[in-house]
Amino acid sequence: MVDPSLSVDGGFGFLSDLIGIQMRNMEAIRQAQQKMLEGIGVLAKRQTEIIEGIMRRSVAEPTAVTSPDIRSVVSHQIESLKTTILENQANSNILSEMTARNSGEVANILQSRMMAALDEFKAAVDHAIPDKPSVGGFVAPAAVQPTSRS
Amino acid sequence: MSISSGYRFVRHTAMALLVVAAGWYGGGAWAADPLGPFPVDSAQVSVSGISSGAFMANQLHIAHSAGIVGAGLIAGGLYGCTVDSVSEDGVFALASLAVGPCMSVPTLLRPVDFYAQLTADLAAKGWIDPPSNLARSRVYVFTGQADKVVNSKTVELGTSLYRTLGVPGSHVKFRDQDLPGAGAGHSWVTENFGNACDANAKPFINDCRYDQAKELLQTIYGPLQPPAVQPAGRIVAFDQTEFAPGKAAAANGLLDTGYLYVPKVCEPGAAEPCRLHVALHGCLQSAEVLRDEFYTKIGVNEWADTNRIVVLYPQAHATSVAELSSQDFLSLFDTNLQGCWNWWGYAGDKQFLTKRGVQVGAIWSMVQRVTGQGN
Repeated sequence: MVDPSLSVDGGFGFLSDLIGIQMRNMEAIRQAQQKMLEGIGVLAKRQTEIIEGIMRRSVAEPTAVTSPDIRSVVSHQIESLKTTILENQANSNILSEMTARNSGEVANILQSRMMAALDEFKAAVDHAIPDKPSVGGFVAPAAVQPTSRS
Repeated sequence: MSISSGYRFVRHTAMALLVVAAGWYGGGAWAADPLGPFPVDSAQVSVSGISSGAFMANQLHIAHSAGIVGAGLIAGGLYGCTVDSVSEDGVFALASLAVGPCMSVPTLLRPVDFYAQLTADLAAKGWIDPPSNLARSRVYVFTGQADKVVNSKTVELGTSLYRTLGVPGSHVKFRDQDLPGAGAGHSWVTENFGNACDANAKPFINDCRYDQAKELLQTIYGPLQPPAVQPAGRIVAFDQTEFAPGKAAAANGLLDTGYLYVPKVCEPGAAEPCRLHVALHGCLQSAEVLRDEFYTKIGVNEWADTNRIVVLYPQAHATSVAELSSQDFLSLFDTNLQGCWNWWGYAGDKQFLTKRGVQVGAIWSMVQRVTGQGN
């Protein structure tokens, strides 16, 4: 009724395929984590530079409030405020782009691996369960054995 | 019946002609002839550009400093302005650095030493020619006081970088004043064509009663003969696709067709070799947008005609997501919707500012073809 060698071979082969898939999944997760950490490092470095820049410019900025001309004082303050707004917006954009690029790279790694893993799993199942059962019956590995055949 | 089929024939023929004409006029799908060699001295190659073209001209000049004798940078240019860091396979550049510090918030630019060190690092990797070659270069730099697109401070810093890299002060001409009115807007400035001098709008060619082509070319090549009243040479359309990896011009921000201005005295068989000047348009200025305006109206051809200069006008292409080699979330950062030259690493080019960069490589291959040094 059942060819024991086919069953054992199919079971081990399928198990081996599953382990291979899982190993590659783990590798992809490791790569994604590494990319994420690199991204965090680059982001932190940029944030440090931004803070250093803000401190440097705040120290270098001359105080204009001593001018007797109120219009020049107001004008200077407005220009300062405009520059600060532009700088903040630019810094925010830079950090956002860095974050988005890093997230995108991580997502790409995980997504492409997930797609590959599904294809590999499908191939493993196809391999383990032939289209035409062998004469005398075929016992699929327990992990994917359809209940209707039990 | 016969009238109907005759009408259909005429209609289809007319449509076909229109399609061909549109392809020619817009520099689109129509395949031009291959670029050929001309009698040009390879030791007399120079480059210029406006806006993104200035950044690209700057990249070409610094990457190929051994083969370029001078550069003209109009309203742009600071080498590595968009670079955050250098890695093993290239540089990490950001579009937000382009539109932020490089264009509008120069207070966030780094000190000139950062860009000098970046240049040294890229040269140490062999990705660009040794910057010591720049000592013999001549450079013309221009920024308009009414420029609202690329801040003048960025252009000034680009000039400082040239001096830091060893270009003698006497070889650098920096112009930002002495123009009529409020000064020039973001534009290639001419003597008698284009928008009002202080405009910051298409076609980004402004009439400031100032012959920028003359001063730029004279800075590079020395005193010139007076210009032709009407250029008598010919415009040659050539196929750019062969210069793109896998002929994928559009995916790499290159138009299918580029243009070359050939004075009569520089036709094949000329007695004396001519010079070659590469003129790069800016964003929204390619033949896709301006048709022939940039390569016929900026005043360069008139000077080229009487001074034995062949002028190469490579063309960039506005690349959409659909034209990229792959589409994913990161594709959003790889587009080039305004047809700019690559100075922030779009199309996934991590080498955009080096000899290995796709566009730098393509334009340099065109130069080599014209000078008879390439395939």
